[in-house]
Amino acid sequence: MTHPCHEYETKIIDMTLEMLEISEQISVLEHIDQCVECKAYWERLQAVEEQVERWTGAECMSDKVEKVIEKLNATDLHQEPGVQNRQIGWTMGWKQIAAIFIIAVGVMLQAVYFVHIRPGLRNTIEEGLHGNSNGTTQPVPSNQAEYAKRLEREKQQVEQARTGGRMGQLEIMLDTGLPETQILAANILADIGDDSVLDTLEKRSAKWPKYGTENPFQKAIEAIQKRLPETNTMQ
Amino acid sequence: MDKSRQRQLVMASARGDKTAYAELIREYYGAVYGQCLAIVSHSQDAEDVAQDVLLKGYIKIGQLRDPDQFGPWIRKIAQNHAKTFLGGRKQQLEFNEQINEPAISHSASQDDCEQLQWAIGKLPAELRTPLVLYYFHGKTLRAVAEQLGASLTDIHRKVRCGLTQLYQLMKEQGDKV
Repeated sequence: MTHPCHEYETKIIDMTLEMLEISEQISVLEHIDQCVECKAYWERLQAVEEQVERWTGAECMSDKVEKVIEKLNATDLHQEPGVQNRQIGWTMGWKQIAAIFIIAVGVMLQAVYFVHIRPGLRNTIEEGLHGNSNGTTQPVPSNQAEYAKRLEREKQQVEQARTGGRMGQLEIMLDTGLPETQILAANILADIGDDSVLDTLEKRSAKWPKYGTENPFQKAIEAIQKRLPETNTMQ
Repeated sequence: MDKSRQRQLVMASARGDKTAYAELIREYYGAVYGQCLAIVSHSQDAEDVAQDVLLKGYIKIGQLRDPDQFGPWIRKIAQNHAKTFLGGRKQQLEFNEQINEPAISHSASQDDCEQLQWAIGKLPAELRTPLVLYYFHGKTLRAVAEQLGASLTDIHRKVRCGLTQLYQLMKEQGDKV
């Protein structure tokens, strides 16, 4: 049996493991040249290490590796769903949430704009949906040319209704016409209207602003009421 | 293997490309086998476990979030799998003892390779693991220290001690023969 010198034992192991400084290696190798026991220990240790290295080396592994690859190709393995797919799903979810958030913020901003910044516009919308204070169901054209065109058309309709004595048509104009048309219709009704149009005139009259010019609807009501007894007496 | 290549291979493997995964097997077999061997301490068992680990890796590779982490990920699977295997084998050995069946043993008359495997198997786990990993990691102490979460000095000491004991075991077997 060979026993290395105690002080060199650890150094010989470290040299085998390639963990020794070059200066120390030189010193150990010089000692090994002179010490038979340490030389035998060093050689035997190297042999063991070489065996381990051979055993763990790529050449020894290649057979084992090929066996695994063969098995991989021969087996019908079903891969489990991956996180990459789940990540995509999660990302999509975030995109949807972000889209909903942006839309919600947009709607809120619009609401603020309509309610606080442009109440006039809100009125226009409400009037368009429910009829405005002047009774027009159709929205009032914002374009001046369109307004004039519509007014002209309504005036012709009012004139035709007057000529034909169609009070129902005039009553409709009170509800749906432009303000000018409504006043025109009220003036005509003041001349030719009977008690059937009083309700509509009264509704219109109630919406006439208390300030400003004389209420044409009230005037028409008074004219009709004044004329009615005469009509009834004649009948 | 550079990181971008590894990333490509991992992503291709996750899409079911077996050729790409075969390349990963070639790259990581040593590390996986070494990890298994360090725990189960028997080469044939380590080979079987390593094969299971690498096939399991193919099945589960889609769950790997970061392709750059394939190495640590597969080694972790190997570690868990080998520990589970070891637990099962211990139960089997206990059972064999109960029914008076001889447990798997390695005699001194086996050839050099088997003698080495026997000697490695005889090493205490705390020395065997760093020593085996040291050789399977291309003799890099730092990689072993990182994998085992230990200091470089500690791993150095254990590898040194492991090699000394391995030498003693093999010498004793040689003297017997």
